[in-house]
Amino acid sequence: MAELKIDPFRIDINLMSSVDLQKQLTSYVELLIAFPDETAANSMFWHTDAHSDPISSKIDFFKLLNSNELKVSGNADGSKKIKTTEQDLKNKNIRDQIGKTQHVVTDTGNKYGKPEVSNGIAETRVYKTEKTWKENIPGQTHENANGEWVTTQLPPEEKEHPVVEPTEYQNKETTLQEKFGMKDMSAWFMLWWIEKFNTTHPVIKDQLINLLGEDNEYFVKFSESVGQLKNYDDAKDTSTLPINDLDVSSNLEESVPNVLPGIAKYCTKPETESLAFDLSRKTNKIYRNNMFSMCDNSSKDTVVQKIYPDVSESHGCNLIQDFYHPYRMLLYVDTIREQVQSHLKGLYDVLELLSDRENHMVVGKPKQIIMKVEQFTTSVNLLKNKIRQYTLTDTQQTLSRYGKPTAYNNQPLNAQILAVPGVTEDSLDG
Amino acid sequence: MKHRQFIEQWVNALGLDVQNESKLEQFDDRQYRFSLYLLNQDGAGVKLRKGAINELYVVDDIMDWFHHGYVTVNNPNDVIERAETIYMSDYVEESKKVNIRPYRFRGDGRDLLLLTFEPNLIPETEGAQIPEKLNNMTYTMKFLFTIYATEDVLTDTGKSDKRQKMYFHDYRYQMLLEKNTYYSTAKNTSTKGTKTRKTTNITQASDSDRSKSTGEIIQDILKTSLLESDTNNMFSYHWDFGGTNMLYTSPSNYRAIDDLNYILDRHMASPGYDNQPCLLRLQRFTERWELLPITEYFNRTHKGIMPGAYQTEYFLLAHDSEPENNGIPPERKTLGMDIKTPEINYHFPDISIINDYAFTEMNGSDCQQLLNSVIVHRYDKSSKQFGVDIPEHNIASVRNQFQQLFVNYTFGGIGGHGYTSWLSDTSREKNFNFQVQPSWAGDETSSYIAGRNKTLMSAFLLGNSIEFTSRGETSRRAGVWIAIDRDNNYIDNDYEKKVLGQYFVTRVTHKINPQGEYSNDILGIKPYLYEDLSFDTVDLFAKDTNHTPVG
Repeated sequence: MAELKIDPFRIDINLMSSVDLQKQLTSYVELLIAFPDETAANSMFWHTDAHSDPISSKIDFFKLLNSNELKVSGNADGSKKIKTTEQDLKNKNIRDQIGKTQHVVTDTGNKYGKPEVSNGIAETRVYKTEKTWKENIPGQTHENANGEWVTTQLPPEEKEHPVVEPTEYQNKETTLQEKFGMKDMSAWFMLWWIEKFNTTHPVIKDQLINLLGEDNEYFVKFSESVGQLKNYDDAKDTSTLPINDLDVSSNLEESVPNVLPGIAKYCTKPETESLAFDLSRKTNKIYRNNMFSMCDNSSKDTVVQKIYPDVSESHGCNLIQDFYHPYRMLLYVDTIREQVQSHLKGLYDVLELLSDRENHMVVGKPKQIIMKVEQFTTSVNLLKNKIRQYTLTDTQQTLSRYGKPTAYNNQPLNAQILAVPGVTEDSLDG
Repeated sequence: MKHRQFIEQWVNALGLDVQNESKLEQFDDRQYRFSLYLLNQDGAGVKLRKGAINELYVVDDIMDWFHHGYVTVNNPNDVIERAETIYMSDYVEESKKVNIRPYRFRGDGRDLLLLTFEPNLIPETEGAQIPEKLNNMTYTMKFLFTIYATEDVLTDTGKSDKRQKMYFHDYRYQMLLEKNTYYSTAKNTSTKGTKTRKTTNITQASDSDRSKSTGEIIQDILKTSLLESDTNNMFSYHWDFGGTNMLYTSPSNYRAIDDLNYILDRHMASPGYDNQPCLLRLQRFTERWELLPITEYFNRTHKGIMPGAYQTEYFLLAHDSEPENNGIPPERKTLGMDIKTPEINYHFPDISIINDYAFTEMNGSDCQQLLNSVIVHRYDKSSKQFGVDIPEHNIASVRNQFQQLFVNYTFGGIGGHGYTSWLSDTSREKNFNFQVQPSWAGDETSSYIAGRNKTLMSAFLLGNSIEFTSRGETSRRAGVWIAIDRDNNYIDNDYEKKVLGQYFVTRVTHKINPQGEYSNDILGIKPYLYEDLSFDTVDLFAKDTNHTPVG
């Protein structure tokens, strides 16, 4: 089961199309340790775009996600490529680190076997052939002599080549679930799939709702503002706070009237909230000082001014606060929660997440991902753009775990791309 | 076993040579072993007797690597396809009458003609041993043709004189015409030299890794399209693999012949031969494939003072001028005849005689339109540069190379060699008369094809030519040299220096006419003179076309 908080986008970047490729061909594996099933599910959803009937595939996908029957383990679309194995991928990573002319010595003798590697050194061989056009009858080179091709295999040359071996995690097996779905995911992931569902094609939405019914568990009409029901703090306003606290300072949290409703507070910047708080305090200070003299107690025979009435007295008295209102509200919180929970079922956790105002989105973003691009090891960011690091020199290279290393800052100049001999970028500019 | 040999055995098994198993036929006062069979895969076979042949043309042309021609045979009342019985004798005897299965023309290019034609050897002294068959690469003609078209020829004398005309060409040419190839150099990357085997898949290999020398591609195309017996160990040791590598994939609508022509059009000799043009030949009888730079043909004209391997027949012009009996004999324009070597520089006193000939000077319009400077423009895809090559293709430079590459190997009077016969002039040299040609290649050397090499080839083939008809002789073929000289003392002048000497045979036609006479039409070229005749090369019509007079 996944930990609660991670931005699902980090899983959905579609860096590789399946878990086994991501594990063996990229350094982006921390989330595979934490979220293997979520990663596989996302890859499966990406694959639906490439199916012959993406609409039906997406409907099926959401249906299985809703019923927690998504088979992620061994799934060819998101978990494991059917034409390869993780060992094959590791073998290829070693092969790709070696030069074009060196052939790795493998356990099977076949090119695709497991390379013989010990202490970071791979055994390789260089094979050469010599093909010459010779007379087909030895010694006959006269005008009417015929020739033939003679191909000779020269003895192979033994060579050692340093390689970077697979990591410990790459050598471990990844366990995925046979059945997976919304209930196995944390709230943020659920929210992520609800978002995906809400933004998908209308035909998919309509047909899925027809299939599942409007009262299904996850893909229902769900208002994110319902989460504000629990933010009852905004009940403490001018009408419910006592007016005799002329400095508005008896208890800062309790005595300043709340001018922002809960739903507004959810999406208000902290500095705006602080300003509203200060303004409320200052305006109410003036207001209370002005209004305090208007307080009276009509329960006496004569009006007694500037007497702060007891909140338990009749409301017929001027400027008496409805002190019990927040407490009455509090009494119903549990009831409301129970109602909402029974209505939302699995989505209640999502509601809880929505009313959580913490921002986790900037936490723990990887600066670079090292991954395989064709036969090379390349450094990319989350958007899969090649990274250029200004702190590094032009000659510094990535490691070579997945293939031959590439230089971080090797940005060819226009003149080099044009490949016109003798022309340099400077002279073009000049 | 070669395809032709297999067919020969099959024909022998059919027993078509009844009462003439040695295949002897009389041509004027000579005997030849001659046979022509018509057969196909349905088991039908007909021997076309010499007496039934109305016309036979077999053409050997330097511009076609294969032989082709036509034959017209008497076919009274469509007897070829109607006869159900024949007499197994030259005489009509009922006892010799046998039932046969008449021939049926298929009309799909699978009707075959097997031709064998060679002199019959007669022992010098009676009873001496001689080989039953000559089977000699110089004198024996053996061809397996396919019939690609037939025609009923009507005569004024009615259906009893009806004839059947059959057009044929070499079966290998027919195969190339029919075969769509799936060839790509990317699929056959094994190239000559020492190569390190790479781990890169071919899909990731560079264009240069997927390319091959054009000479290898030509071999590949032939090996891909023809029977294994026609190509296995049948390529010349002197095969020129060329100076250009090419990444070539056969387009889907290309037949093998299109592939072959495409590559030949871009093939040029290896740098050792200065990337000059080459000629592809399928040698008759030996059926070897030969791809030789033209220099090699010139190189084989003579070896020092001895005739070279490609010097074949030595012809003498019939006496047509009265010599001065007391004068000093003129310089010999040839190496002299040798009647003791039957394969090199041989001479037959009664056959190797030219009574009359047509000598044709280079065509003036060809000279001015084809033998001029070429400006070649090209685009290099790797450097993204356009290039224009001018000096390499200038006619003065090309003429100089023609002399160096070709004519310096001939027999002549300037330091032992001849002098280029065709003329350049100042207008062409100064680029007032030029052509502009695009090049398929991006580099300077490969672009020789578009300009210089085409000019060299034109100058070689369009030079002064001689054409004559001679009594037939089976050794005559294209792609070799013949010598033409006089044996009497003659008055030497510039004409003799132009006409006498060695000629490169560009076309030979072996023909049998309705009278049963065997003769050859021979066309030869001689692009050199015995020595420099000091022509004026200042253009008479010179004009600076870069300036237009005012007013």
